[in-house]
Amino acid sequence: MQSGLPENMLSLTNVSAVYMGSILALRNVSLSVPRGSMIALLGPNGSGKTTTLKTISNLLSLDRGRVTKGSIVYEGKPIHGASPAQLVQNGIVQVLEGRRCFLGLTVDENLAVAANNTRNTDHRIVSGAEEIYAFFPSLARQRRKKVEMLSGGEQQMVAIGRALLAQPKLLLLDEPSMGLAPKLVSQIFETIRNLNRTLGLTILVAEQNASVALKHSDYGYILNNGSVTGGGEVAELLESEEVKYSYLGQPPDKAQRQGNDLSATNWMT
Amino acid sequence: MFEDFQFFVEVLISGLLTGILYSLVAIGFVLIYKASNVFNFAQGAMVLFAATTLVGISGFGLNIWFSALLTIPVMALLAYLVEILILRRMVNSTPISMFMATIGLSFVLLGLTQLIWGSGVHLLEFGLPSGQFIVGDVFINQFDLSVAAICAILVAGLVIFFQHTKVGLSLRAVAEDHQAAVSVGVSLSKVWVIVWFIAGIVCLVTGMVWGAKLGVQPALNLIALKALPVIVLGGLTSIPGAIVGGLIIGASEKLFEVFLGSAFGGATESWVPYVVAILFLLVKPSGLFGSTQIGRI
Repeated sequence: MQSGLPENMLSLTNVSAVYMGSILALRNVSLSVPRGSMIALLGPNGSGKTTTLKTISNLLSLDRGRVTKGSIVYEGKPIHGASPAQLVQNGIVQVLEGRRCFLGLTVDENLAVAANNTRNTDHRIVSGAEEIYAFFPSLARQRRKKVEMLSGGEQQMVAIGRALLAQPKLLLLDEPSMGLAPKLVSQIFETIRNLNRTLGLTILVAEQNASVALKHSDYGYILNNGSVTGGGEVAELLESEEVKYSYLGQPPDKAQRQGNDLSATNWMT
Repeated sequence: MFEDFQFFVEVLISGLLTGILYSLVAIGFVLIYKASNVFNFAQGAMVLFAATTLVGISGFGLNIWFSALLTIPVMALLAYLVEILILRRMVNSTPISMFMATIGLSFVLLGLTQLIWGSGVHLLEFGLPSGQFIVGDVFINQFDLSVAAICAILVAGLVIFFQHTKVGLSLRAVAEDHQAAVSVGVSLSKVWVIVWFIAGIVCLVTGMVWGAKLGVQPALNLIALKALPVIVLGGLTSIPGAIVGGLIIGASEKLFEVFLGSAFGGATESWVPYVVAILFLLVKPSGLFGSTQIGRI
């Protein structure tokens, strides 16, 4: 590992995963998440971002998927095969793609589901629903409304608030920007970064919007076709031609391309 | 003319009260479908199993209500076994595989019931009144009315449980979105055991009232078929739908039989509900109260 990184909270080593026994979704994915960091997982549609997160939270098991090889070590212990509910109790909590709030339940009830089902007492990061409402005042005004009445941005707040009440140590966020207006996307990422800093919460966020994700993260990994094809500190990634070209919409600069290719600066090795 | 109307009301009320019996069976389907996305073909077998177990226990000379109380832990055990032996192992499988599994469960339960308690017809008598009483000029069957009261108590109990307890909230969350519920720490296996247990209690109540009406016999298994049109009508995901659907089916089959049945050669009650259901499917496939997905991106 590169020097200067704190202890890893999570590391995946050569993890491969399949859906329905045969459809290969991840191939030899290795990545590590240092404690207290915010890591961005970038890549186009279908590159394996969601599968990577679900492999960690083992929600993969609910999608007829499973890990075929490799190891996942969380807090020094292998977690392969643990049930999703057990992993939540151990502090791995995922906010699913598309928010997935309980639409027919009120905001209060959405939060209560998480609070009621969390048994761990050793790592409480938020005291209760009131603290969530303090983070998101616009939710407080609508706490008795059904979530289906809320806007997309507010639903994302509910989803994040709900996840926080499950008392995570490691928060996995899947495409928090999905379907939100650009201004809201920045706000959501600022909020997430704020949670990372003020609560010391370790965060792994999968995101297609590379510029906003990199702006608010410490490190980034790039997934393509189920494999990690690059990764590095945010500053490095923002300078790399592959990222500029593929994710930030900047035209390739042929002169620079030779010397500053991403694979040449792969920090993982 | 007035007497005709009075007769109509009598038939209607009797139909509605029978409909409540259908609602009871349908509620069992809805509970399990909502929480585990399983269309439980074994619902009828569970009703028979519960009723026969109750009669069997009371056969040891115990009071009928006390026997019912003793049947409750048996239904809990059944729910637990279903979770361990079927649901847990099939968590990754398609709805059709789950459906097949419940067909298997249905056969196992029917076999088990007959193996333990035999296949005879047993009387079940727990003191529901059987006379008639008169409101205005309309005769109402007291038995049917007591069944309606029992159903109301059961539904009220379910509503309180689902709306006002922590476990009930978790169950509703699972019904809304399995995966999201799991993602914040809800244990699916726990929820499944609880839901199958509650459905087991509903089956017990259903078995008691149907058993008191028809006797406890293997044919009780077939009342599940009566619930199918109710579910089509009310929607597979709604308890109010199950109740209203049951009332509509009960009333329409009785009215049709009494007023038009002779034109169709009688015994129309066995097919009218299905015709109503099919007509309904053409107009509103998700049922009266079924969930139509409203997407927001």
